[in-house]
Amino acid sequence: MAETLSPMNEDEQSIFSSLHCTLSPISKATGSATFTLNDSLCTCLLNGPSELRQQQDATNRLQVDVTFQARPGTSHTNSTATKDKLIEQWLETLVHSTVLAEKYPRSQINIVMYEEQNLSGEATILACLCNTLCLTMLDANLPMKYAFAAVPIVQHPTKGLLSLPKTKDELICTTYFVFVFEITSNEILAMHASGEFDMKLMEQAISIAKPAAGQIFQFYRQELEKRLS
Amino acid sequence: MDIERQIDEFVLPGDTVALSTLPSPLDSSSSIVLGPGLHYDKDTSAFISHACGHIREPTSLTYYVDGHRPCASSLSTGDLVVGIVVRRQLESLLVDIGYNELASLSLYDFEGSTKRTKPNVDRGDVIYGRLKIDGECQPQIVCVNEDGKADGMGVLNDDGYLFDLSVDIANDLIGQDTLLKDLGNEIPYEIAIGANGRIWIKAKTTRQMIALRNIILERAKNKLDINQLKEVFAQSLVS
Repeated sequence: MAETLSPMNEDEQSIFSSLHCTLSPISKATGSATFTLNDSLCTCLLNGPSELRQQQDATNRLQVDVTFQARPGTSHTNSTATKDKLIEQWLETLVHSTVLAEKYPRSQINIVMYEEQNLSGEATILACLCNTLCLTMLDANLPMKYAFAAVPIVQHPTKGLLSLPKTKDELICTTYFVFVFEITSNEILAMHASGEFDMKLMEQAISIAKPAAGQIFQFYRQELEKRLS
Repeated sequence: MDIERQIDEFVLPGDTVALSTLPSPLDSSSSIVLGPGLHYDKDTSAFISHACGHIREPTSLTYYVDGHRPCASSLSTGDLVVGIVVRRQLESLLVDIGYNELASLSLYDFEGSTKRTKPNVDRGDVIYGRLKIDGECQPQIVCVNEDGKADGMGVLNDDGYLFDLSVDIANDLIGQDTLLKDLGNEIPYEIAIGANGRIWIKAKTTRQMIALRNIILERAKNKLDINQLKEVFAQSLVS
């Protein structure tokens, strides 16, 4: 893959310094992870696959339940119950598209996500949630089609497009993108955007986000391999 | 973009793995066995991993992904498991094996069981048996081999000791470890290891059982060599 071939430069080191994770912080869950992206910190835990509790129509595949618990009283994300539900749905579609749901008929997994700290804006927290989710599923070793990584991009008034922005930069921006890439062919799996932009800007943002995603995959490899050795 | 991962390299789900040193993977004369975490994609005719871990080749043409397996969701037919009876029904038992649903165990699948004489099994008993999972059905356990003999399987004694372990360590203990044999030279004991990560042990005294458990957990935690482990064992037998 491209990420292992790219040479190390100053930029890359700064990316690795803004990422941090802990695997299996919660011992009773099947899989759990905390992930830090700049000033955002999320925890996620996964339980299952277990017996299907409610009588739902998932007789031939896996039922996925995602619960997102936002930190109460955060002013930056302007969080409301509706918004939380939208985030839950967005994450649920992500899980559905990556997990091999056919392997577990008549069963369900429960995923609970907590926003622990969020000083920056929505872009970072969304990307942080996605990456935490992926690490949790890797920690639980669910069979997945591919791993994924999310990259936040903001449009700064003076500095232009920035990937993985620092809190100070993000807070003065109004336009942001979050791209989720998959590992096999580095295609976009999901995205979220807000603000004023045109197609050209978005394409530019994608081209900036791609190498950053590669580095996040490299970070995953490092962290997961560390645990196995 | 497509860099293929080699054997003993670390993979993430979605990575392509280079196993195609053979003429054709569909050639029946040289069939490949793919263990947990690997999958052959017909469309791209490539081997793709579904789990994270290192690619291993224990024997020729057999491959699997050796990763962290915390739960029993990767059990397959033929695995020996240790389970706890949850409910007794008229002709069968429901057994908790840590899988996503309860396994069923017919009361006729015990040695010497007939319609008149059913074994005396009740809720809370510990069962050691062979698992059968096929597709859409509930997993099943049998406690007899093909000849109708118990072969070590069946209800485990009440005065044993049951504890949980991670699935990898349990598989290690079943597979290639000489630790259990070495311990057997020190004291006599009985052990049943389930592929679902449950271990049942029985020894003469409670202290011996605790010492055995300590040594197995110690082995799981830090990879000590056998002599060090024996020292720890001797210490926990005395103190």
